[in-house]
Parts: sequence; structure tokens; C-alpha cells
Amino acid sequence: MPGAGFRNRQCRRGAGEGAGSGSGCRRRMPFAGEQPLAQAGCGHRLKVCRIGGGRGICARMAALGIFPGQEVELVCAAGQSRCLVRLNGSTVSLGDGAAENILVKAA
Amino acid sequence: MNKITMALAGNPNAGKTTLFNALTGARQHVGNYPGVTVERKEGEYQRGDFNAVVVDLPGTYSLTTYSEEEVVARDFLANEKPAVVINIVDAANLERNLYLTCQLLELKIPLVVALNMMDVASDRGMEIDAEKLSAFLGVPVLPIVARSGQGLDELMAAAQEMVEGRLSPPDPAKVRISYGDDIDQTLLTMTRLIRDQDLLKGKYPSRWIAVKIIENDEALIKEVNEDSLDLAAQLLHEAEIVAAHLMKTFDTYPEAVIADHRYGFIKGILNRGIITHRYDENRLYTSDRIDKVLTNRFAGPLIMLAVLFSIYQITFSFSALPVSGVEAVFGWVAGLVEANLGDGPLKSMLVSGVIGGVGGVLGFVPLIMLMFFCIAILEDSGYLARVAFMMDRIFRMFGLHGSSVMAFIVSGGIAGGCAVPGVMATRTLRSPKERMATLLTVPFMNCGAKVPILALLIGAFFAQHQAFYMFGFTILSWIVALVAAKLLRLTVLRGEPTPFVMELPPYRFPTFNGLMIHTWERTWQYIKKAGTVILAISILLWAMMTYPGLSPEKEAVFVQERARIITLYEADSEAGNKLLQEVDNRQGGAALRNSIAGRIGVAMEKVTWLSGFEWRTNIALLGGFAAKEVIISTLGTAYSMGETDPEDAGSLGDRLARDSAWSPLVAMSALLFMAFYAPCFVTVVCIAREAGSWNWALFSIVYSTAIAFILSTGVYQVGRMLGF
Repeated sequence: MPGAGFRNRQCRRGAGEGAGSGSGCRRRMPFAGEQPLAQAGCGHRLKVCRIGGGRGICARMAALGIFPGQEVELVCAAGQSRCLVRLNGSTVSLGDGAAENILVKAA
Repeated sequence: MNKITMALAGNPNAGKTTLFNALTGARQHVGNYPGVTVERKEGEYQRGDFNAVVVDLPGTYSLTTYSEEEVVARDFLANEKPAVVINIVDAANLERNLYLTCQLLELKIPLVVALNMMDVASDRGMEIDAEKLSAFLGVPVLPIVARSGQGLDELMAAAQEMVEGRLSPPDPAKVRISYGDDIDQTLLTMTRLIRDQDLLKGKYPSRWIAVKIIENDEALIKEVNEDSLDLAAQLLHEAEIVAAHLMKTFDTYPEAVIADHRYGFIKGILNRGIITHRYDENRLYTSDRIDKVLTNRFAGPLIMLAVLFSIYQITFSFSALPVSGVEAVFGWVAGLVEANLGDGPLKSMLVSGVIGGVGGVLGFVPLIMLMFFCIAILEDSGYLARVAFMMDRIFRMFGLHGSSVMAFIVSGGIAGGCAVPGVMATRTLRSPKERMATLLTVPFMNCGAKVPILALLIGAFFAQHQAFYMFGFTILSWIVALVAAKLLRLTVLRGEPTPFVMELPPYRFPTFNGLMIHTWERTWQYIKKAGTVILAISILLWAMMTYPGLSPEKEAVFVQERARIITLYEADSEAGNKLLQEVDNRQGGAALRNSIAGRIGVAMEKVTWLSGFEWRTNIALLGGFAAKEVIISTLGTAYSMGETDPEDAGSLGDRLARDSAWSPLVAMSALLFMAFYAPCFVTVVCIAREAGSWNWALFSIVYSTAIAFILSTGVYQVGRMLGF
């Protein structure tokens, strides 16, 4: 169905390892199983859990297709938090300031 | 029929400019780098009785105004209401590209979707059912390959039908995307308010305004505020309530929820058998495999340095022969003029002003061309975008942004660019402070006009290690630019850094045609400038260096001296000729010194002696403010006046190397000054325009000249103490 619910693809209904009851994707504290994008290991499929760093960043990431619930693949990490991700058939590069705000968990 | 307006909209690097060129026959620059089009460009299309002005809009990912390009694109669509908009969609990357399509549909503008790069999609094992997609979107969808021109006729036929009203604009019922119960409810309320009060006089559809307000689109909110403060307050209040609610229930911003639903809508459509994958959808493409190596945190930067250095090696080793060939041609022409024209101002102007000036600049065409060719390979292959990504790390440390990299490279960061388009390329930067810092530092790069100066002086004084010195100066220009940027960001332009996010284009094999066009269009700019601006300034400076000439009394002294030598020596004796030559040189020097330019140059020596520059160099530096190419041509004129036999004099480099006022130390000091002092006049005007104030432009002149003077004086004085 077009526009299918946001709820269904949220992390908390996802893999859920140690996710506890209904408190998966938060903006504030890292949660069990969540880790910064660049440290998640190359070549893995990941699910975006949350994006910090304010509304502007969140909105811009969303326009590029990076938003909570979206699956991405880490192509390679190019530094502390800088990395390339593949999603929806395109490759997006993220600098330090952008990538450090993205928390993911295994898809 | 009357000419109609047709706009091309789409994601960065989706092929808008390629399509624009194919439609209008223009040769706009197309690069494998997102955001090549910063300004909108116009051209004309004609097919039968269908006449259209085609407008190439900057690439955007969304219609929310986060950056200058998005503002340009949206303002055009909303204000000028084009008769038809062609939305170019990269078929190999449908989901992300259709995100913009959704927003264009919501804007209810007459839309035709061009499914570009069907060939690439098919190589990747994707098959796309355009008809089915058209049925779901409610607008015509036509497969094309813009590069080869395939499908363009059908596309234009559909556009014409849309314009002539035989096809209906998007059906709102079909593309009404649901954003979930909470947002949909709020949208209903807001839409009613907007419609009742006729907000913005129907410039945008009311539901679209409501969505943008919930998305916190600052430009639109400002517009709404200006139209009606009361209503704006009401609408913002509604938006805040729903935002707070989403934060409580989903712990996220409404933008993310809206994006999620848009992608959900797109996936919903695509899943209905529109795309068939022949291979595994999630496999890594070749591009990603290459990226694993080329952007690796350790190997990546090393490879980048090696690639850049090899460009210098290639350029210098392969251009030496053609450059000396072109120089020989100009020498031959000068000889012809010399032999066939009687002495007088015309001959002097042709030899010293025109051939010495313009010839000096044109002599470097082979080198410039080869340099541009190498850069075209980097750009067209997609590697340049990776360079931007890798450089972001360093740029961040200095208060700049990864997107500044393109402005630096366009300005001559690799060597041979121009600060004018470089200054314009800063428009892709979103943060005003980062943008200003980039604006003020890009002129430090080695533009196409500085490269010949570097090549000349390095060739004359440091000939053994040309590529090494050239590379060194490039690195130095980056260091100076970055340190200056850091200082600016710590003082007048203090502020937080903004994050770097950029889509990387897939690696593509550059086409020979594309490389040729890129190389030629940039080289032609250089040649054109030499034939117009540089020619005019060369002649002006020649006049300033020739008049008023020597006073009759002083001239009489030289005539007497010559007469005395002739009586003392036999005609055509070697010793006599040598003495005569020496008198001629002294007379030429005295005349130059007495000219308008000479007097200015001498006056400037009061300061420039600190850096080791004599008055003739000062003239060249002054001329260089008009255009940097003029430095070479003026040096050529200043150091050729007083030479009676130009063929014997050798190239300008040889003359400088033999001149007593020059030494390797002076050359080094001059190189430093010329590389970093005030940007040329055209760049200054551009900075003023882009920064929105002449104060910044004046600031850029003063601070860069100060940096250049400190560097060159420091090197010269320390060098002298060390006995160089």
C-alpha cells in the first residue's frame, strides 16, 4: 500500500535484540545494540535508528533518503566516523559532522 | 505559436545538463560531479511548430529550501510558472529520484518525467516498465538516453501535448500521499485555513504550503509571515502541536516522518512490478568496490596525492616540446615584423606590446590544455567527487566544508582554473560563514593565469626540478588558503561547522568526446581572454612604458656617445658593435625608467625593495591586478625594451635569468608574491557581487596583498641573511 505506516519500519519492531518494550529509537541516549554508523562494520546491512544534530540536518538527510527505519549498507569507513553508505541504489558520502549523528543497528 | 518556457528539473547528476545540451545544441559544461549547474541556464529548442525556451535548473534533492540551488529552482517553478516541467529521473536510482518527483507532483505543475540513463539501468540488470509507472504517477513517463539522444523526440512530443492541453496536469487525487493520521489531520485543518484566506494568492497549492510549514521550510515560512502574520501564527501553532506529538510518540521530527511516508509511497508504487531485477539487488556494484580502495582511510589520501602529482609529471614532460614550438613561432613572427617594418612606434608596439604580450600568454596554451585534459579525466570519471569527500576531513579542521573543495579546484586547486567560476561555485555551500571563508580564500589557488608565471620563473631559475617545484607551489597555495581560512574563521567569521553530505556519482569511463569538449571549452576561455582583455591591457601598458620617452637633451647624450664609438672603431668591428649595443641598452633602460609606468615602478621600489623587487617587476605586478596574465606580458615588454635584437635575446626566461636584478632568491620571493597578492580585478568584482558588499571585496585585496608581502619579504630577507 502506498504510504504504508511509519510504525512498521521502526527499529523497535525490527530485530529487537534487547530492545526492551517499545523504547527502541530515541534521540537522546544510545540504546543497546545501537552504534554510530561508521563503527558498524563494512559490508553489513544496517537499519537507521535515529538522527541527531537538529532539525536542519535531519531534514536534509531525509531528502537524501536517510531517516529512521531506512536500511542502508556501509560500503566503507574512511575515518573515525566518515563513511560511504549505499541506499536505494545510490552511494552517499558522509563527513564527520554528518555521520557521527547517525545511530544504527543490525538490520 | 508563441514561445513557451520549459524547465528541466531533477536531482544533481541526473543528466539535466546533458539533456539541455541535446535539446538546445548548446555545449554547456557537463561533469560527473553533483552540482555543476549553479546558475540557471537558458537555451532554445525548436521542433516543427513547437518553440520553447529551455531552462536548466540547478539539481535538487527536494523542494525544501536548504541551499541556494533549491531556492533558485523553487522560485523559478513558483514565480515563472513554466508551461511544462521536464523532470529528469535517473533510472538506475529510481527511489531517490522519485522523491523529488513526488514533491513536483504535489506542486501540481504540468510535469513530464524523463527516465534517463536507461542504458545504465539495463547494465545493472534492471528493467523498468515506464508505462506502468506513468499510470501510477498520473503523468507521462518516457524512457530516454540523453547522452545518445535516444527517445528525445517522443519526450518532446509529450511535452508539446502537455503544453497544448491535450494531456491533463497531475491528478491530485492520484498522488495524494498520506503522511500518517496525525499529520494528515493537521494538514486538513491547515489546508482549510490557507484556502479560506487565500494565502499567497494561489502561488502554491494550499496543501503543499501546509506540508512545507510542517517540514519547517524557513524560506516559505518567511513568505507566509510577510503575507499574513495572523494566519502564519495560527499555522505555525498547528505545526508545533503535531511536531510535539510526533516527538512524544515516535521520538523524531516531522521531517523524518514525512520523508518516510514519501519513500513509502514510492516503494509502494515500485513494488507493483515496475522494476524487475535480473541480478541480486543488494550486491555491491563495481563503483563501490573501487571506492573501498580509493576512499580507504589510509590508502585513499596516498592515492590522491599520487594522482595529483602524476598530473604535474604528465603535464610538464609532455608539454615542454609543444610550448617551445609555439614560442618559436612567435619568435619567428617577431623576427618578420622586425625585418619588414621601419623603426618607429608601430613596430615597437607590435613587437613589444602585441607579440611580446599576447604571445607570452599564448605560448602556454599547450601546457594549459594538457592540464585541463587531466582535470577533465578526474571530473568525468567521478574521482573528483571522492576528492571532495576525502578533503572534507582536512577542510573541517580549517573551518571550511567539503563542498568548498570544488570551488578550490575550479579556481585552480590542481592548477589551471579561474577564480571567477570558483567564486561562483561557492554557492553550493549552505553556511554563510563557510561560504564567505571559501570566497575569500579561493583566489589563492594557482589559476590558469598564474600557472604560466610559475612555469616561467621555475623554468628560468629552478629548471632541474620543475614538476617538484610546481607541485610544491600547489601544496603551498592550499596551505596558505587553509591557514587564511582558519584565521578568518577564528576572527571575523566565527561559527560552527556544518556537516558534509554528498551523493557520490558512480565511476564512469570518460568519453573521448566529453574530454575533448571540457578541455577545449576551458582552453578557449584562456585563448579568448588573451586575444581581448590581455591584448588591450598589453597595448595600454606598452604605451605607459613607452611614453613620454627621453627628453631631447638626454637623447642627444646617447647620440653623441654613439658617434664617438663610431669614430674610435672600424665599421662592423666586434668590439665596436658590442659597445654600441651596450649604449642602446642603456638608452632603452633610461627611456623605460622615464616613462609613466617606469616612474610608478621606481616610486614603488621604496617599499618593494624589502622583497627584492626592482621597478620593472613592480610595473608587472601593478599590471597583474588588471589580469594575472598581464604579469608575463609586462615582464616580456619591460625586459625586451632596450634589447635591439630580439632574436638574439632568447626567451623571456633566459633574459630574466641573465638580468642582474634577478637571482633565484628574487625569483622565489617574486613567485610567492605573485601567487598570493590581490586577486585580479574581475575576481574582486565577483567577490563583491557574491558577498553582497564591496567591503568584503576590498578586504580581500588588502588582506591577501598583506599575506603575500609578508611571505615574500620574509623569504627574501632570511634568504639574504643566509647568503643566497
